[in-house]
Amino acid sequence: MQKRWLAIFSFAATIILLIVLLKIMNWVPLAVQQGTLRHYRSIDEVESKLHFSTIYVPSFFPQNFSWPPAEILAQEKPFPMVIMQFKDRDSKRIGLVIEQVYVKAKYHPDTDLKITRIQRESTVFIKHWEARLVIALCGEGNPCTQVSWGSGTCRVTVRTTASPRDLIRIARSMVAEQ
Amino acid sequence: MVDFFYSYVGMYAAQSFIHGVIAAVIVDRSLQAWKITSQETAQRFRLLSILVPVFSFPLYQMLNPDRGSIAFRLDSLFDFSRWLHLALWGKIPLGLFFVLILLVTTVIFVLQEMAPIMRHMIDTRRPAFSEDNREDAGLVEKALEGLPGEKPDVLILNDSDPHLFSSTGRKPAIFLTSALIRVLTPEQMQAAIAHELAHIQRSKRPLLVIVFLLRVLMFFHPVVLLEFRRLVQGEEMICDDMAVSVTRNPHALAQALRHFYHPIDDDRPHHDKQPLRLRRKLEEHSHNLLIDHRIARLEGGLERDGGSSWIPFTLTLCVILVINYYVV
Repeated sequence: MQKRWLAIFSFAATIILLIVLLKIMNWVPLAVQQGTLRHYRSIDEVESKLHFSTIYVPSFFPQNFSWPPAEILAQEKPFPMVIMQFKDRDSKRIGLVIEQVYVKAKYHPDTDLKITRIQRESTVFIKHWEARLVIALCGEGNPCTQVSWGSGTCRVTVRTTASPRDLIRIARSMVAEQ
Repeated sequence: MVDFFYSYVGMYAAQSFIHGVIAAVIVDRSLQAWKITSQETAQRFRLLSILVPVFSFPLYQMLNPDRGSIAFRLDSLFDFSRWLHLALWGKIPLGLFFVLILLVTTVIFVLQEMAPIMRHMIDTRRPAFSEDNREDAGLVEKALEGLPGEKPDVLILNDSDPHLFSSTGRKPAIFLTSALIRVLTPEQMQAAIAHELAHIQRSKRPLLVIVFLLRVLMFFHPVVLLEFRRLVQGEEMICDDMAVSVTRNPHALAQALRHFYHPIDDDRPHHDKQPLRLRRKLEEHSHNLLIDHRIARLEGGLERDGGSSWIPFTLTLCVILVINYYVV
């Protein structure tokens, strides 16, 4: 019986050691290489720590979403990317996502507001940029809309549970006049 | 390179690799913690190191399709992609070295595993045995008489080196060389043939066939390559145990094994180039080490585990599955 307990203790110790080792190994790349994907507290912090020429932030912001963003994720390596997620004041769920991804990366981040079924697609203009507007269902079948456009070196995607009209207004407020 | 590791194929390759490493480490520690010495039990554990990398990624994705999401990755126990995207001197991604490891493993698999199997299949189709050597055939028949079960064909090859192997399939056969027959005593011959009969008997188990097919499927996987080799070595020892359980004479099998040492002789004329010669020497050395280990086992008395191993096995499996779930 004592042998069995000793075996269990020895095995458990190994597992704890393995978990600690994995945690350390998970942290090492963040320490070694600056600019890898991590959480940021504010957009100012992203601007001060990473070297983005532009971070797309809306100047029009529907009142049902909370400012500042509930979550900001950003990286410079392996490619530049910024993701901002905003919560809906009523449902306390993510209701607006703004993604800004390096255009050559062909990467579509999985966020908390994910399209599950596309219902209709059309082309719109966000100021001088040609954009794709998608009417879709997100998550558990809730209606959502998305607009995305290529803006020089990055691809900007705005996805929201708000109406298509609000979405276009949010998107247009993010692009400066030429 | 970056795009590859975000694709499903890239994620499968990366995650199956890291899941395989973790499974192998946990299995090794589990075998030590529970002092599992029986080869048959150890083999059941080692199978996990081959099966987990094959199925873990699709299984986890099925359970949670959001496992690849940024939120999951950030909260995970270990995100392998952080290492793959690390750039040496700001230019060369470590992922490139990872892909190189996969390529080297593939080349090793083709040259060291597939090519010999192909050669063996062609050789065994070509009958090169002597039919007129009645004295040798008589010795073999006598050895077979004392062994239980269905008797396969035994074919004697005219060769000056001692060799013994078997072919499996619908019509299994044991092949041995005339040189071997001359050096083995009747007891040693019986023990050696009993070992080959054990191989034939075990080759009919569907699990081993499935594991072999999965191993072929994971041709790129370095952990599966190493673990499969350990499994094959373990298989030799399981067949030793089976042979001894039939003949009740471990000493005879140990003595028979001594005839299978590969001589490592530097004085022999070499036509090989330096790297090939080194490779051959290494292979011969590792072959001899395995023979040494098997002889030591047989002469030191075969190990038997006390009690059931199902609790440690289930615990090991659960720990592997839970930890790997949080490793992306």
